[in-house]
Amino acid sequence: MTAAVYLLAYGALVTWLAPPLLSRLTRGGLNPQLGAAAWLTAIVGVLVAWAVAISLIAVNGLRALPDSPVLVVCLELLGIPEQVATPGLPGLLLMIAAGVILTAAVSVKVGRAVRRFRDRSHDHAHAARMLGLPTERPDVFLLDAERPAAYCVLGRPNAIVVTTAAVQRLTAPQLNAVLAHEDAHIAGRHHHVLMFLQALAATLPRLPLFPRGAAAVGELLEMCADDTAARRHGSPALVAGMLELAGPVQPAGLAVGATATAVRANRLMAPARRGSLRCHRLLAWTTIAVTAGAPLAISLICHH
Amino acid sequence: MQQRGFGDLEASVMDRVWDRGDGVTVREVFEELTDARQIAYTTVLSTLDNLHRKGWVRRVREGKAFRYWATMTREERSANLMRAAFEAGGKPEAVLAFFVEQMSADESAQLKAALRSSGTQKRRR
Repeated sequence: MTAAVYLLAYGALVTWLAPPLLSRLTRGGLNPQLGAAAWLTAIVGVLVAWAVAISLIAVNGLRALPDSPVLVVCLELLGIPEQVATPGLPGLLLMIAAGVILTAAVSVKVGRAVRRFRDRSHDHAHAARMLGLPTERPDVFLLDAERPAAYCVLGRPNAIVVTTAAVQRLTAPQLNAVLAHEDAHIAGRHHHVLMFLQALAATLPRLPLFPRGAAAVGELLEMCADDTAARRHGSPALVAGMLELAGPVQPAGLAVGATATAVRANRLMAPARRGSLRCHRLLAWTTIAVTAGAPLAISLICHH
Repeated sequence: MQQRGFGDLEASVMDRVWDRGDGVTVREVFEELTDARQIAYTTVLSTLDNLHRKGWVRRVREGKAFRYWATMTREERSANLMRAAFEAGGKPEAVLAFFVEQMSADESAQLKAALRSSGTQKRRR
């Protein structure tokens, strides 16, 4: 029961404190895979902590009513006097009901959002297959448009779309690098991860971890796909492809600082030194270990 | 133009519908397709039925059978799809992410210069 209180506190702490810390850790795009893993650990950690806390309250709360010694000891650790901290049966039942209903409502909403994204994505992939000109590759379709663009969408099967304007601008090595980037998204199941994160962000937009996590992981996965493409086709071809396909900044948006595309391109042009990569890797692993380890430690200490 | 794969039956059927402005019957599509691949009449029938359900074709009863027309031209539908993609691109609710978004003119110029200098360095080496 008290483990539940600590787990809830852990969840709240991570939800509000992790976004600025993780942003600092992953901003530069060093080790993007680890960076994405750190965000995902925090997000999954909060969800699991919440689920376990609710179950603990429901199961132990009903069984171990006020006079349980475990409860008293752990509550004293929190500095709460015994009298205050022992809610009556009605209060307890109310708390359990509220927790379960809230959890169910959030799960249903997230599930619906994921399904909505998936359906929209499948429809788009289907339409792209129907309308696009087939190319040498069975999963790549050429669509007529004046704006240069390339993207991939999940479907049954998936589709990679390249516009005619994009093909006109790109040389063969550049096009191959761009396609390798899209292939990396599909092979890494990046869209699956992002759909789940975006569904969470849409359902819980006020909890900073979820919207900021979705945005940050989105950018990090772009960098992961860049790295895969650059390994196969070289950074120059990929960066040249970025330059050809990036549109000019909309004058309406007063963008301060570098655009996300420029950050990605600069990262490829000037790779980080080995030493700083290693330092960053250590820091990222430590972050992941602490984020994942804290709730485990809580359950061990309080749960005997 | 590359030949469509066997899996893209809907696309092949839709191509036939678009090619014929005066509408098609299941039999006509079946006869055209059967030259290129082994296919059952009922498969074409159910494919057109699916396309009707999905809103890609409308149909009018003609005696015992239906005649099918495209609800939009290929160009209209293609433009709609791209508009949807460009409107969605970059938004958090999007199901697709473009390979790249925008870049400012300064950033673009700097990167071009960096690319050029890295190219010359390589040649010198």
